Amino acid sequence: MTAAPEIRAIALESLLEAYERVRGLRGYSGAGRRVTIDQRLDCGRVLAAVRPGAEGADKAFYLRYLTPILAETRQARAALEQALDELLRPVAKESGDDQGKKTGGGGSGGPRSWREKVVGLADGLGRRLGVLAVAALLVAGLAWLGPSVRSAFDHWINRAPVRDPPPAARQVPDGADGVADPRPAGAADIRQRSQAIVRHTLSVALLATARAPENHGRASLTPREHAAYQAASAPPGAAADAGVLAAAMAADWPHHIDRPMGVNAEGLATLRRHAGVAARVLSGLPAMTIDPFAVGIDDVPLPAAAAEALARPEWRAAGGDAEPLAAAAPGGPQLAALVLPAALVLPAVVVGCVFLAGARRGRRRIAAAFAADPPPEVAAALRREAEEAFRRGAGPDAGEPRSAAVPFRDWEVVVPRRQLGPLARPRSEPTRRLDERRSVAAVLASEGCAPPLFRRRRRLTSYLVLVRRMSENDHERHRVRRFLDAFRRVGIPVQVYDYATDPRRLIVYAGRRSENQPWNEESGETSAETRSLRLEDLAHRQAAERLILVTDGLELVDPLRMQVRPAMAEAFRSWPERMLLTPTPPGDWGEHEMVLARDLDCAVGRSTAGALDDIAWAAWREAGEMPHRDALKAAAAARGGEAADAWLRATLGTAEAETRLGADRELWRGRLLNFADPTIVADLPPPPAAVGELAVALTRWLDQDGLDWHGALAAYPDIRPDLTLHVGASLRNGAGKPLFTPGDPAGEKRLERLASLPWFRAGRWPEWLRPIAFGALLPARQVEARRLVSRLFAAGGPGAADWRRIEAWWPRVGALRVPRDAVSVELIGGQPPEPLQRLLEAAAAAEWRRTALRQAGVVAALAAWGLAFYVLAPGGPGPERHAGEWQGTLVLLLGALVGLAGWGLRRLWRAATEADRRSIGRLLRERRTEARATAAPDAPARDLRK
Amino acid sequence: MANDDFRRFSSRPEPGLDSELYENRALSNRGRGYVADESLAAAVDVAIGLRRPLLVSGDPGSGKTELGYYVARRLGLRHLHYHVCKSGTEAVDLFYSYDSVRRFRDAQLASVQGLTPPGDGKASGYIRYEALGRAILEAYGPRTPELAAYIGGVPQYAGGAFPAAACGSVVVIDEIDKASRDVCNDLLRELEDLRFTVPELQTPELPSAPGIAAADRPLVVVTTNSETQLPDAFLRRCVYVHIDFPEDAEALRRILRSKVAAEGGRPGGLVQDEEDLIAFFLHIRRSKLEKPPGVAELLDARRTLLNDGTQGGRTPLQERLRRLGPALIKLRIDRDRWPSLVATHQPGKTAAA
Repeated sequence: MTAAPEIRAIALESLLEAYERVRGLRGYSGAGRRVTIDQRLDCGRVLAAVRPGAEGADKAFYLRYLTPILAETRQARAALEQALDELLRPVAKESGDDQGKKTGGGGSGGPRSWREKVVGLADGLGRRLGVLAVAALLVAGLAWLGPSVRSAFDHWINRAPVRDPPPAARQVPDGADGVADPRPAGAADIRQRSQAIVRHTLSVALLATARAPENHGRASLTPREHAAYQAASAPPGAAADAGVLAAAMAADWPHHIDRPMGVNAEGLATLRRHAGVAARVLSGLPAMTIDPFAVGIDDVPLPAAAAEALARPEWRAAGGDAEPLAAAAPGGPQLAALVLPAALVLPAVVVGCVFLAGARRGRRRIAAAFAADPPPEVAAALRREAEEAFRRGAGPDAGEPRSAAVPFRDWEVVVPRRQLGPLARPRSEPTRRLDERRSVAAVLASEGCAPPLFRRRRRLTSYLVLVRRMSENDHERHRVRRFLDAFRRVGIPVQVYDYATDPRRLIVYAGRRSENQPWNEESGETSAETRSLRLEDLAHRQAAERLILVTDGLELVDPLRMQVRPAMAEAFRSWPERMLLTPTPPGDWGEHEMVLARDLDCAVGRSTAGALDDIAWAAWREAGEMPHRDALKAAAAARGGEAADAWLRATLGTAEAETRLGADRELWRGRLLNFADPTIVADLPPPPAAVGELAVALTRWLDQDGLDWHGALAAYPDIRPDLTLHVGASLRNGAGKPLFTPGDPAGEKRLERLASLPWFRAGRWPEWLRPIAFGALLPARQVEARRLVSRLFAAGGPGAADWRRIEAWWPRVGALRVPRDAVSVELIGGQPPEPLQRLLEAAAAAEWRRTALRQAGVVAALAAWGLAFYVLAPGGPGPERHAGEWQGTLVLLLGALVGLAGWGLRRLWRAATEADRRSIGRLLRERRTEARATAAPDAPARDLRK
Repeated sequence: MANDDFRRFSSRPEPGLDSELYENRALSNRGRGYVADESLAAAVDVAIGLRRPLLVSGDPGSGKTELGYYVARRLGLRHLHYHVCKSGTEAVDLFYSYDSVRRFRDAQLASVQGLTPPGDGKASGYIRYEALGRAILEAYGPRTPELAAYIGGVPQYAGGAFPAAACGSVVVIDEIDKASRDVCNDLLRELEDLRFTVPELQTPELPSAPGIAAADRPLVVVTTNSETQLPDAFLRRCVYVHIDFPEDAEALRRILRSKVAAEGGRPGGLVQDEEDLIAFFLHIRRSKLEKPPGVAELLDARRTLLNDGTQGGRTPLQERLRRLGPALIKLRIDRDRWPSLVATHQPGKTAAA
């Protein structure tokens, strides 16, 4: 059954308001952003006529009928689409079907999302418990299997270097002759003594077993009976208590104390192990010196009858043959001892992994739920944490990138209309229409033989501006484009194109790169899909316009020949009216600017606010009266190296230049603040002397407020135009005024100077400069700057449509440890910025990895402790223990106690210092309770139709 | 402004093959077989309902101009007035042209030879109404004496008789972005009010009739290739629509089917060559050419493919597709890629995708 089409009407006013806002976000400024009254009326008429509520109004419907009225370009259509998305998104969330499909649950969206979060948290809690359970299981398994494992490896651990005892040792008679020898002995003596006693106990065991059918009516002995035989045959003076022996045997090998040992290989192995235990207890030798398997069965002296009894068919069938028995002895149980732990531990590990995987899924669900509807408490908790870390001074570039936002504002440049008036003055040009009056007058004047005269008309002056873009965040370019918006607002047609390195290939912003990447046609503030446009194509259709080239000319001039590259010069000749505006202050002008003026045959002016005066000065008078040519003539008349000076004198030294340029005439930036020097924007620091020189140059170029602004921007690793303006407008100077206010001459001047700095053109801080710039701020100003950047994260939720997304590096160590350069490469490569969903998922994954590592560490520590305890603990109950035997155990216990105490103290400390921080789980529970209490079960759908 | 106006276009059936359309008084065959989707139909409806010009943008060859012809046919209008803008076009050229030079010469000759100039030398004898002017005059019709006299004195009225009654029409102003921005700015009031003046006639604003009936109001279709930015004031007075290129095979099949039917060809499905062409065409479109071909190029390629004299023969398809280069590729940089494009094409794969 297909779902019914969504029938819903939206309020036109809401839509138009959202549309205006989105247009503003996409770079439409001023009047271009607003919907006119006529357009509003038209929209109302259309919607009233087509009655959206009656036939079902979805996004496609509104797009179909409102795009023709509101969206004059494809980009505007995308803005309308985004506005509709914003308005229709809450409606879609309320739709139970969609949400149910997404989450797989039923019910309404709100409570379900909270349930998801709580389930996720429960998963997290369960994961912790699961890890602890696995650890306990491992420890218990090790403790239980310890004897088996130890036994299994005893023959390897205690193996004697010489497998076959020397003949002399084989002839050691039965008895305790070597048992109680108190003499200090070397390793060989100890080995001989241990083998002798083992041989003795083994012979007792085998003899008793051989006689078991007679004495006990069974094929073999029980361990308790075996212990009694061993105690009875113990040499005088030995601690020969049958009960102690039986207990030691039971502790050493897991065989029931009263169950007969089998007539098979396992039974024989048990017999040998018990004989080894008896040898250890009776001799008092260290456990590691006793190896019951080091003595061959054939080496055991037995009476002939006993040997014959042990040679019975059932023993042989079980491998009772002496040599096979000896070889098979360590087999079965030892293998079992190896396999059993694996059989127990592996399932535990698998269960643990499944548990952890479940917890990871739970975290992903939390991340998804947070991305869809971030709870404000959680965001606030994260923010507090981040702010705290930021306040501590952790470098932002040491952490992970997170999304933040800069509030959108119209940063319009206010330019007096009277200043723009001369630039808009229409030009006169001939038409094809006959001027009758003048023609008649001409005919009369020439007595009937005059050619017809045609009318002239006044044509609107329009400008074609080519701006060099040194980087995506080139502040100078951004400032110039913002400045040119003022032209548009007063009705002067301006068409602006960017270019990167070659002005013959212009950049055209073709559209949005992705849904997450805002598109901005006019300012191109963000990476967008671009295509190139050839300058010669423009020359064919827009040659009548006035061409303004905004660049410092570095890419145009060949520095070796000191002339403009011929191809470049040729490219601009199609425009008879052209001019170059440079961000280089007049005080730094020299041969470079003279070459530009000479080879491009155009006037050179400033790209700052003084550009209006310079454009009016160039003014494109009649041919031959171009003002820049006078200066070029002066330069041509001068000799060799004096040409530049002559040009400068003729350009800046005139009374007209003094009036026009004013204080700018003496303005100079200096060699170090020049983009031509590549070392200045590199990450490698220049020599200390140069750094000091740079600091002096900066102090001179920027005033105190400008330095504050400059330093505050260093709180963030990238230099973004919108962030620059936001910080400038937010910080206040000593007089309480914002450092930057749109239209304020002082603020605009500061921005001009900032924007012309090389790193502001490159759009990023050199690594060495950033700490210097930030460190130059007063501590209070540093805190203010950090807070300003931190706050950007507070309001940048995914639903905040009027915020422009930016990338930021957040000091919280953990998720997405991406080197800064890698992020840059990603952005250059055309990838969209990190959406919140991806960040949360990455954060959750990193959190999971971190937690898993921590828990694995805990498990490993517990296992190590258990293993150490097992190894260091005394081997079994004995009548007498040396105090030194307990030393290792005591150290272990003491270490565990100290560790536990430290862990408890740490918990107490954290509880004391973070008492005000409520846990996320508690917050979620409260929120859920609150939501349940206040939620209306059948909230009416919004009727937004007007 | 009746609500029905907002459905006037979409409520009409598709134009039949027998519909007649005169472009500048000459019978035209254009506008047949055009395929308009819902957004296009809605835009035309909105333009009619709001009585505003329809500004059509889109890539070259996407069918902007053809839309005007199609709208005229579907609305059942018999007249379409077409004007293409050039770099020297002035706003007044859209309304009328005044041959002042000829009048000047006639006056000189008459004075020398002692003859009476044609039309008694009145200015109206040297005026020729152009697309927008004709459409406005036809919309008013010769209902008022002054208008009738006005028109009666204009012998160069488009080379044909003035209609006896008011009638609607479609005006296509093609490639307005080629003209200077002044043209758009000078048209603002005239387009809004559908009134204009002829200063040479030294008469009041023309016409002075009370108004134009909704059915007779001409629909102005303005096309642009977006080569230059049009003035905001002009944009705000227009209804806009952008024609996107149909990127799926089914839409292209629909266009080809419609074209085949409009040309009086076979009804029903497409022949294998046309299917192959669509697949190849989409392959080219997805190859990120500097100038990807549009619908016009597709139709040209179809004609080339079907008339190359090798269909049904043994010429391999790849070889036949290679011959379509001149019809599909327009730039040198794309021509360099042409052989590899043909070589990498896998017949039958792209269309299915």
